[in-house]
Amino acid sequence: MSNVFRGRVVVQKPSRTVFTQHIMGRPMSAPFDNERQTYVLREALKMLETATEPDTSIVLPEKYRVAL
Amino acid sequence: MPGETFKEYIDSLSYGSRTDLLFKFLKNAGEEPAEQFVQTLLRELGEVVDTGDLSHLFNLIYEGQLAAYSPPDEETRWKYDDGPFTPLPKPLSEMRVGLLTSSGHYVEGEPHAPPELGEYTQEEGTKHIGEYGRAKPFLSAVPVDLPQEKLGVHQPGYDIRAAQKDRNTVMPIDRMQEMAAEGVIGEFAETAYSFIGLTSQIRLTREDAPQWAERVKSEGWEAAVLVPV
Repeated sequence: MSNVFRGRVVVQKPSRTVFTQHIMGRPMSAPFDNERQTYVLREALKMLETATEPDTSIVLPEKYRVAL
Repeated sequence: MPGETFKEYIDSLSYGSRTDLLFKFLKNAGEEPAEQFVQTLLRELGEVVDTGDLSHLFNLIYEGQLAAYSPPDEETRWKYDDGPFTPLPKPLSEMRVGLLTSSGHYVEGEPHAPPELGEYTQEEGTKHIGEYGRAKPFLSAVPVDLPQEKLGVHQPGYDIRAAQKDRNTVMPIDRMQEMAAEGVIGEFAETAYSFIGLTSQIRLTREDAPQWAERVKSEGWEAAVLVPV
């Protein structure tokens, strides 16, 4: 999900969360940025599989961009 | 408007006379940060004229939203001391994985909002925002083989333009299909779900979400990817 809501979300202690530094309404990517979508989804699936404790989260470092 | 203050202007962006769901955060931000935002926006636009580099503008919007939507601790309503956790019982490559989003996607031709609200357009919906906040949460079933052009999106809580252009910005159906084809996940559940995140959070938490969880479990979901907008 978009990191703009991290402050509201982390206190709710979701089990696993991947935050993206993306503008609201575009948590996976800008339209047609398939590469970024795949990357974000892979990170989410990786966390789903590897997390060992509750309240596991990561903020991905990539900034929002438009697809070229 | 003659005599309008800057505060009245930024307030009008959030479900007012100039509703803009991308910039509604300026009301939350407050008058002084909003003034700084507009000033910086103009300066960055001036740079774009020479460089063509839009990345600073994107970052400006992102940083503005981040600041405006980060509440002081004492204002955080939904706060818990601990959270749930279930370790995966087997590799994802052997699991049936589903997709649930709060993006407000629906199948064209089917209802897109709670029956008590009627079928507001996106613009009409922004004028009845309080009704959504009180309404029963509304879940749409979306076959994952549905083409993009058959998929609508209605959610007056956020700017849906990206979701309309490409569902994968908030509902990564195509990317999940690829993960299944690649074998990263065992199977992508054939029905994905989407609901209007702008809804009664109490009803969602206490009544509907538990029912939805039972529903997808009965459809064989063993794990889920949730994408909030």
